Amino acid sequence: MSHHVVTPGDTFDERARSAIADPELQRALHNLDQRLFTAREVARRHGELKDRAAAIRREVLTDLDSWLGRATRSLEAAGATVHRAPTPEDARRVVLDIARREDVATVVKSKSMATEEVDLGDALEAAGVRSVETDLGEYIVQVAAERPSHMITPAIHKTLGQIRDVLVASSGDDIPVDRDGITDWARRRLRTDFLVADMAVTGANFLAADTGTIVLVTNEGNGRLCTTLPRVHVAMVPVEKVVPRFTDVATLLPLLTMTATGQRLTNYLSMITGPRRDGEVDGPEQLHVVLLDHNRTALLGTAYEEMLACIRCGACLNVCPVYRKVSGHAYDAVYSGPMGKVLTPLLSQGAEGGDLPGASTLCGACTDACPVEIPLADLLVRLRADLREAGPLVGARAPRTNEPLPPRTHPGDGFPWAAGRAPLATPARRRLTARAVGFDAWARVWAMPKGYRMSNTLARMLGRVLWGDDRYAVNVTGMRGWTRSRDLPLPAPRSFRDRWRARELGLERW
Amino acid sequence: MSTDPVSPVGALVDALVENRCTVHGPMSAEDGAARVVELALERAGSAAIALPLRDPAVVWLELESRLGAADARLLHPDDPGWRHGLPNAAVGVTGCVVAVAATGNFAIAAGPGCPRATSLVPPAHVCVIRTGDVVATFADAITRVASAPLPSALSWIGGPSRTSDLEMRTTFGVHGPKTVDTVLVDG
Repeated sequence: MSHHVVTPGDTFDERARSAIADPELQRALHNLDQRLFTAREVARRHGELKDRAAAIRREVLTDLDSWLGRATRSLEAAGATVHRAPTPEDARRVVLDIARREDVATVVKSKSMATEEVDLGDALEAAGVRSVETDLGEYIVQVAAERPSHMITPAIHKTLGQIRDVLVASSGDDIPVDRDGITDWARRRLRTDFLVADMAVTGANFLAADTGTIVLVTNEGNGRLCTTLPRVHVAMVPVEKVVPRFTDVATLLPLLTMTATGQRLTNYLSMITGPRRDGEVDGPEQLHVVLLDHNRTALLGTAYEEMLACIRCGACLNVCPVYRKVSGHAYDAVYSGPMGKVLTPLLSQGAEGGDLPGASTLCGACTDACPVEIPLADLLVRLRADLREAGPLVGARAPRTNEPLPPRTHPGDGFPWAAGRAPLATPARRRLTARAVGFDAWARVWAMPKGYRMSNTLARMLGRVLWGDDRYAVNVTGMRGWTRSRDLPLPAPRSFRDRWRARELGLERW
Repeated sequence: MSTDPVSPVGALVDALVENRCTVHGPMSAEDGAARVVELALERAGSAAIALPLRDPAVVWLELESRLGAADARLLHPDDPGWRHGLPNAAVGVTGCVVAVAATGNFAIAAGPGCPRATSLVPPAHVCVIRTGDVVATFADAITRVASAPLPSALSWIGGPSRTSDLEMRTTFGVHGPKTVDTVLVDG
């Protein structure tokens, strides 16, 4: 099935332009404003919870193989069948085999990034199995033949009017442009599918290794319906979702829900331990758990291992000044926003999303928002350097830049240039282009306080000439690649250093 | 109605109200049973009431005989018509194993005679919360449920089914119940 392109363009740059030029999209994106400070509030009020959660995630990653083994044994003891899927293709094959063997005509899906990652919905449809997304946002995106644009609110890019039009076009029903009317209509429409579906496919927010319990977080109740009515349940679980102990969810779940939506807990939590048991009248007869790798374990032991601590809360998207302007489709990848910019090249071994790490201002808002303390901005810088070289991004546990990140106490620490080693100035095996020479020179000059001061003085002098009376320069000759899409502000008439010196000398007071 | 935030039950009442549950009590077992019957009949109208006969709260408050005496149309999990009848039932009545005062969430354990669907498929849910099952925090509740073997499904509920997928404004009843009545009973 082909998908409608919401923000056309061949590169991130072009797609970002399309997104910014789309007034309906920009209007819809304003709805994200209410999540802007959610993560910051959680960090301020629940710092200790955040630290404990970060520690639990690292504990798993230091010995992931053992925890996966433990989880597998627990799942099997509870009556589930465990499948290992090294690649997305393997994951699709496992699910299609189950669907064929069980003679499945309709599958209901609960929102899951892992199933998006392996493109499961399309694979099922191609095999003649009807696949219905049941999260309202995902359903809207599915009937519009689009892709989700946000991992928590997949249809954030659509206004109410657009949503209603899409649903009317697909169903022929008369649906009011009214939130309650649309909600009631969706309940009736999707309930029919729940009642006939033979199989449900869900993701998992966590998998407890000691009990084999799958934890699913929803607000709508579609996750509960998926794990209650169909006779087969398949959970697609990326390997890093495992947590050591069931009791760890007491730390991770409140943190996830508070950061993702601002709720103390989501409206529904499902904790599933095995299939239906003797004497029970509902719940699936079979529970299959597909453990998806897709190049994840190759990241273990590298600096990129940190990315596997991610709990998919969406906080880094909500605070990112780039995401908030261009929305998810501009990334042309399953995972968008800051975490997507890191994860997309890593999962594809550098084959996809090579321009994404560049689509960042490195402002560090994502790092600050992350509830499990992933140094996203640092990883973006590292990826920019690694992606400049040919070859696999992460070899068999032999990454090219695997020196540990230095401890990070304030923003800027941990960036390679903080130690006087600007990555763009590293001379090793670089072609001698004007650009490379220019960056080298810039790095050398700015590495010296005197050079930095002189460059400022020079810029102020040149500024008067080049900028004239305007506050911003656009289309500066020779710099168009930069100034076409960025404002180059006029340097201040006096530098901060000058003003500070004058203050220290008592020449002025402020 | 007690709203003393110092006691866990008072805090639970506040949190449930914030989660858009309708709260009744805390009250005695006798009054609580009468209130559940009244609520179930009111929500059901002429449609069926889904009643899991082996649910501890249903047994404790003798809801089967009380509802039977009121001539209610009851649907039991042991009925052969349960699965096909449930989508047409108007209300499901259950108890719960633990309730969290800080967040207003309560957990229902699946088991023989206690289907997962009772609190999920009908458009209304009436839940009995025993005050002895109220704990302060989610962590306390997890410790409590982890002290015994876990059921096949432990379903945590915060209130009516909701979504924010329409321009990030909340609407109710998208998949699960549109109304949740909680009856707090001393015990």
